[in-house]
Amino acid sequence: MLPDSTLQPFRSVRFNIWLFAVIAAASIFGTFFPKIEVYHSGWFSALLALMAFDVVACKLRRGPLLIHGIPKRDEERSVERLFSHSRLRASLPTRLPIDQAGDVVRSWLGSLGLRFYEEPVRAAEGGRASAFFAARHRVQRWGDMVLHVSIVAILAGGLMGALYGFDEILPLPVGETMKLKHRPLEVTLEDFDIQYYPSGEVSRYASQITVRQNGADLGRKRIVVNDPLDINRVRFYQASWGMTPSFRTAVLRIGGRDITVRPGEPVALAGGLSVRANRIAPTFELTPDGRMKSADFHGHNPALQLDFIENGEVKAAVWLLLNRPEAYRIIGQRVTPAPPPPFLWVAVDPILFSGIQVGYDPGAPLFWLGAICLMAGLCSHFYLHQRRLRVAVVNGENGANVLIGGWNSRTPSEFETEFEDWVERLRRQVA
Amino acid sequence: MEQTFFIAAFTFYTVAMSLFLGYVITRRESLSRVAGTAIWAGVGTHVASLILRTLAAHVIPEHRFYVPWSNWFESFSFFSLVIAVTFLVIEWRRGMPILGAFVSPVIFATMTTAVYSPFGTHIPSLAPALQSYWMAIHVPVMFISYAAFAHAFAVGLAYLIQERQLKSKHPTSISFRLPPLEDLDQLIYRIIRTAFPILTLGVFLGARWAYNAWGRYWGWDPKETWALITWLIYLIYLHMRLVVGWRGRKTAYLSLLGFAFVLFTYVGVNYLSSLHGFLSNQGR
Repeated sequence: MLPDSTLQPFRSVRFNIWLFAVIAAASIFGTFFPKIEVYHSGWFSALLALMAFDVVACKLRRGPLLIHGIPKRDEERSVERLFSHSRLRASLPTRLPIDQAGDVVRSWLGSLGLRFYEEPVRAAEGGRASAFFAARHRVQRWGDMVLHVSIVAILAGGLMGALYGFDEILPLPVGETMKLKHRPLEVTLEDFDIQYYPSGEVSRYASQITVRQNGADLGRKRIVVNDPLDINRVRFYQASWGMTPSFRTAVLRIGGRDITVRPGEPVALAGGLSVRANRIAPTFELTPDGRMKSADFHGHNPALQLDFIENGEVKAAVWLLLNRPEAYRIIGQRVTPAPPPPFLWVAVDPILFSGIQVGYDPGAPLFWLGAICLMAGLCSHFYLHQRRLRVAVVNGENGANVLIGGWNSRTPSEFETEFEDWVERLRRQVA
Repeated sequence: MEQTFFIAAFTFYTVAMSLFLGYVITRRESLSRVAGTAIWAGVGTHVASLILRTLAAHVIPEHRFYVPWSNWFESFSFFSLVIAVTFLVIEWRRGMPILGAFVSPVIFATMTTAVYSPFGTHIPSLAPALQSYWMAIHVPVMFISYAAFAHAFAVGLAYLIQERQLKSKHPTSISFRLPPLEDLDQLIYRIIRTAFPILTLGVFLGARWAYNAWGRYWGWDPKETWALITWLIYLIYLHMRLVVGWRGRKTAYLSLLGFAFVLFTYVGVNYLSSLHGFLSNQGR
């Protein structure tokens, strides 16, 4: 346990506020400069760890206060001390004997719907008096502690996930099986289907997957985005999809006729020339230095790579765009615009892959527990209005004197009207 | 029909804004009452427009989970509605019609932003990630908190104006309409302390959705990160007020700053990343 003097700087509110501001500033920096790794850097993790440490340092001191703050019944207090923390006070002189005044107070507290208990206290002149401790929404006092501790739980959950969890992507063509790196599991993509809106945008894609361990089926499911498969807390998500460079068939429109070609199989053209389709680029793009790259796998601008063959020799290799008379000749690593061939590429049956994301996060349950506790703490702290009454019935000049002290968890002005209303009700009852 | 209701709502909000401004200038109480009624009418027609839009969208099978806050137009339109409803709630609880003079221009601005959507006002095709019931839960919760922070911003603005007026030798008519500084300061705090847990809940609901859709509850994407930054700003506000004891002008400025962060989280972040955004008209 660290000495109090060591913890003191970390308990400073201003230090903590500066810490929040620094974390916010670092986070802003990270969003504007995504290439600089901020969020997984050591110094950023240290800031989050420091925040967790500060919460512990601050709340360690508050914990005992919470416990000791509950009045102990075996401890006799003086009337003066009873009201030392009361922000609102009232005094009602009555003509009632002390026992009868006590009965009225009991009935009054009951009619207000307050939970209360009684205990004797020392009166000013050394005699005994009755004191009543009443409260509404007493549970609010725990909100502050719960919400701060839950922040530590959330950060701890995140740390556990980062240290002991894993995340991998399996780009699986239909019918293929891949092994996970982090678990002795195999995933097979049995089927993949994709649906489109009339506008051409993707509306839905789904993968029928089977997960096996040593040949034994552990689970199978048709997963879609938002509906993963969960096997012993290892979760399999439908994350993405795309076109592989392979295809089953492509259709070339030559001289008004549609001719179906298969990868690697030459098709004869006029004049002893033949053409052979090899692979596709899903989203053809030219880089500034004249190279071809596929910007993504979604087929936004597909291109077909063709070889023109004469006498068994490749005379030229080109990329031909789908449904457009636009071609690029391949010269080594570079491509240059070329006159289009005398035919069009009009259709393709691509081989798709499904991006299956596999994730395991052992910190997730702690994170969710922390989240639930944080919400409970916040709601308790901010939405519940704790009001406490302390009432002492002491001997007065002509009868019992009822002293009332009020305290609330919010600003006193939010309790004033209600406190006065409560006192007025008692005034009517003792009159 | 849906568009007719939307135009009617826009008209009612505009009329309300004009009446609230007239109320500030002329000090005629009747104007604020009519303006309040116009906001009610705007909310009614706006809700009718959203219901009709939802019914129309649900004809498409993939729109089983469609809710009318899925693209630029719908998002700003729905945000306007939530601000208007939040105003009615605060007005009902606190009885401060002058607040309308500050909030109704915000509603007008968000409605105008909706109408001038660069992607049109048609019903969008829902991306696969948005086909989830979480869309109906996470987004409204976030919007309720944003709308409340918009009110904290409006009251903060009112505070600063009133403070300036009180220090001035020649206060204008608005000074007589605005409540005392202490009441405004209290109201800012009450709004923020109510909205802060709602913002936290919205972030957690988003995390739960992300856990199902993207395989992680937190991925530091710009939208998530800016939601955290906004959360930290209001956390600073609450600590400053509750622990350090800040009151008055300083906290009013913090409420203004907080809403600037809310706006960036809501709109600005979409320019940093297409993930989580609606600028592509098809949020992912």
